[in-house]
Amino acid sequence: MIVQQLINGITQGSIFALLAISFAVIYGVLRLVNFATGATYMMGAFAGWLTVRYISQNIFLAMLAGLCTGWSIGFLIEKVAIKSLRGVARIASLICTIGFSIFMIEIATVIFGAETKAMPSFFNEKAFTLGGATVVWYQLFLIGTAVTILLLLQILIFKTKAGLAIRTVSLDFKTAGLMGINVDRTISLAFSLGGATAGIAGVLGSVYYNIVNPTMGNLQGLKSFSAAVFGGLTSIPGAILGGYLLAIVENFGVQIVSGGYRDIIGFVILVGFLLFRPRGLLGKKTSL
Amino acid sequence: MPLLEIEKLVVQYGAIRALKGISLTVEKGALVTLIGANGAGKSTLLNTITGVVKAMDGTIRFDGIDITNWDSHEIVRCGICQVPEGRKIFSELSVEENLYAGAYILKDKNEVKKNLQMVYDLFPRLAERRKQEGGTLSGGEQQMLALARGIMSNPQLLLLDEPSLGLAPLIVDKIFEFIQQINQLGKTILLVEQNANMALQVASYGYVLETGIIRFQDASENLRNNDLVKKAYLGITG
Amino acid sequence: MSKVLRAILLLAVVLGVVSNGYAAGKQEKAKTDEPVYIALTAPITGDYAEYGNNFKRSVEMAIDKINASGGVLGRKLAVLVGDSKGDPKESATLAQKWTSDPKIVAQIGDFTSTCCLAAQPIYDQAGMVQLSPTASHTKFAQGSKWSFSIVGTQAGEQPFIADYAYNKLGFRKIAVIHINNDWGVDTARYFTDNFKKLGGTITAIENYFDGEKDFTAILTKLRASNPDALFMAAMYNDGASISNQRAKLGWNLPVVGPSSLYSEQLLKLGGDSVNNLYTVVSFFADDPKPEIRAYVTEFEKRYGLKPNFHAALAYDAMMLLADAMKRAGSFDRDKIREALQATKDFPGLAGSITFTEKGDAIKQYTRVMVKNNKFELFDKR
Repeated sequence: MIVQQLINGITQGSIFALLAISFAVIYGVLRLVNFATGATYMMGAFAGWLTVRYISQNIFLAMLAGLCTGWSIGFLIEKVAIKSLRGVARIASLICTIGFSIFMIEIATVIFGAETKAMPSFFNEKAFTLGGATVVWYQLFLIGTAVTILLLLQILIFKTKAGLAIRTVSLDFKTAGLMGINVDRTISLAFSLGGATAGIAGVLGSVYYNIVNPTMGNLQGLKSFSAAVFGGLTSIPGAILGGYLLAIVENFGVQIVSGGYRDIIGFVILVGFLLFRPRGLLGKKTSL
Repeated sequence: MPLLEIEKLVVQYGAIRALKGISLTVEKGALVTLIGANGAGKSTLLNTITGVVKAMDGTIRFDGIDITNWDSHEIVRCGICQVPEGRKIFSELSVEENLYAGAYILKDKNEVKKNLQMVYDLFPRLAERRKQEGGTLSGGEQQMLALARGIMSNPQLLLLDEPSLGLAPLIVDKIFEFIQQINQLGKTILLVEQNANMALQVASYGYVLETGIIRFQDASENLRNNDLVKKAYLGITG
Repeated sequence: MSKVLRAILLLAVVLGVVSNGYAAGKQEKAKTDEPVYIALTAPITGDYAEYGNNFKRSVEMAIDKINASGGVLGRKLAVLVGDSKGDPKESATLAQKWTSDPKIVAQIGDFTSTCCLAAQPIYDQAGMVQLSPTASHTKFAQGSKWSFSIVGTQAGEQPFIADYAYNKLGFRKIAVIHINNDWGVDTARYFTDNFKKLGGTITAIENYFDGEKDFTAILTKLRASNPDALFMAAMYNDGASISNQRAKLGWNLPVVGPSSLYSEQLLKLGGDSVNNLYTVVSFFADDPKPEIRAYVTEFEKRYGLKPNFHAALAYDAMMLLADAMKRAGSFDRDKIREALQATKDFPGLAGSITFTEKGDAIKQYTRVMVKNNKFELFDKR
């Protein structure tokens, strides 16, 4: 049972980690919480659902669709909420991301209807049992994919020139500009990357839970935000750690206390960290 | 043709006129200094050259090209690099990553490697600490890193903003030595300083900025012997 | 400054597009020739949107049918739809709006018991009928003489289901999962009380909050209590998710649940994982009765989907209200209430309706089960 809860937690944590990264990449470059992350997750899921339903029953194609959709949404949010509002109080951009979130949810409701759609399963056969716990292949696929994406992002951010640009902009955008780094483009790139990560997470999550609907990203987005704060909003490894830890703590919380306390656990962690350790587990002291 | 040519530059922050029509030239290969008190507009001038602050009027020409009000990243690509006041090291990046950030605009990896070797030769201290986080360096080391980062992109013109600020006198001497060495490597330098004494010793030509206007300009030698400059900036009375 | 303005404008446009959609819908309805207005409060957007939209579809269908046969007392009916988003605050705000509009004679809605209870004091004070198709919390109809519910309460349904589980299906040990809201708590309580009364054991009870998507932790915990069957007090969307995730965990056991699970959506979303599920209905869409066939065919023709239990209840609510107005011979809010209270054996699609003194409907139930991804009558096996 403990093994099963751990596996449940790691699977759920993979989705949280991807979304937490989406928050962290964007928060890193702009010190702005992108509240449209949950809605981007949902749009990614719909893109995957459309692909599976009308084009091909191929999960890789669905993930590609989720990635492209998320990328475009991230790009668009940056253009509207950030670039056009440059120089206005930060709060305007923040509210604008909330507006985007509402807008996307309503648009999805208008286009697809409020009815929950069924997302087919992939690789749903039992892989193995371990200590009484059942693991299906898809769980392994989801965890593996998430870890691969997280590693690729890690490489992108820490080993490439574009990543160096993101890191310098996130530390000091004025000085980054003096190094010849195109700050606008770097911010735009971070938004697109964050969007793409959320979009893929949407496809992975919707296949795991077998459902797609316009409100599916709401709670997911909020919890992942907690995970990101938990790990340290400006730290990419922190966001990953926060995502996995939050899910595992939640799952064990259900086991030890009760299912009704599940969300409370997540949000107590959020409030607790905001109050007592705002930089999170791995964030730097100077960062927040 | 001078490398940098500024004509009647006007910069305004809201209602406050920070630069009131400044003209200044820097010849290729020279080490020119701009001295003045706090708030005279020295940093504003550098920030306007690199496009961080926008000019209201006047022109800035670099190597004959009008670069007034270009975006910062475009100006850097032309070959101007500013080493900002307060050093502005990327504190969470290692020394080497800071240097790579300085070479961001270079496409050729071999050139980056060559430059890296050059700055390590110039600043052996940085070579020792290449893996250390920038924020953990001492003030003097951070200033060395800022200078080294500034020349990583092969700029023709280096703009130094108060490199001696907050450093112990012994270290200041060292930093000025480095500045001269960099100048001898063929880099043109515009040095902004409050430490007028030191600045006028290393520079060949100087400008004195007072509340947004150029008050004096002359060869350093002459400025050092100018009574008014002596009194106001060199702390020598009588 | 202009950028601040732009931000505000942008937001206004974004929000405006959304709210205008509904406003436009309302104005269209208002153009008809001096009709009698009924208000419908339903979650048109948000987590319960699909239930709310079914309300709207059925009520509009019922009104078209009533108007096609000459309206009520010589006047046409029209509906004003308000979106409560499943939020009790919104539901209460809409109640203020409806009751202060003298054109409106009665209100149908809301969907959840929680929303209905939040709006109840307002209807009670203003004196307007609050007829909910679906509120099954026992406190609802009893709370005000103006409140009526036609779904039947959990106090009526759960003894029937407990008997189904214990006597017909032979389960002795049951684990319970329920949504943590007024309805879910009530449903779980009535089921466990009645099941224990029959001699059964409840091995574990777990709840989850609205909006939860991951049930694996709860299911893992319930599984450890080793029950014969799982009782699932959930709406059909959550019910399908719970079943899907249960199947992924490799946990196969029979599931029992309230009538809220009866929906085509459950089959579509749950696939094979919802087989071996037992529930009761008072409306069965595959029922061969001609009036039900006529309703189902028309609904499918208009909206391209099969009506569920909730849709049928909303249809019944509108038809019942029209019937009460006819019997009252008036559109007076008070007279409508009196006539509604006097309802006896009204032939609804989801069973005949008779109100108790408190305003609860007494219902009959039919046992059904899911087999090969289809609902089948249990007793006809």
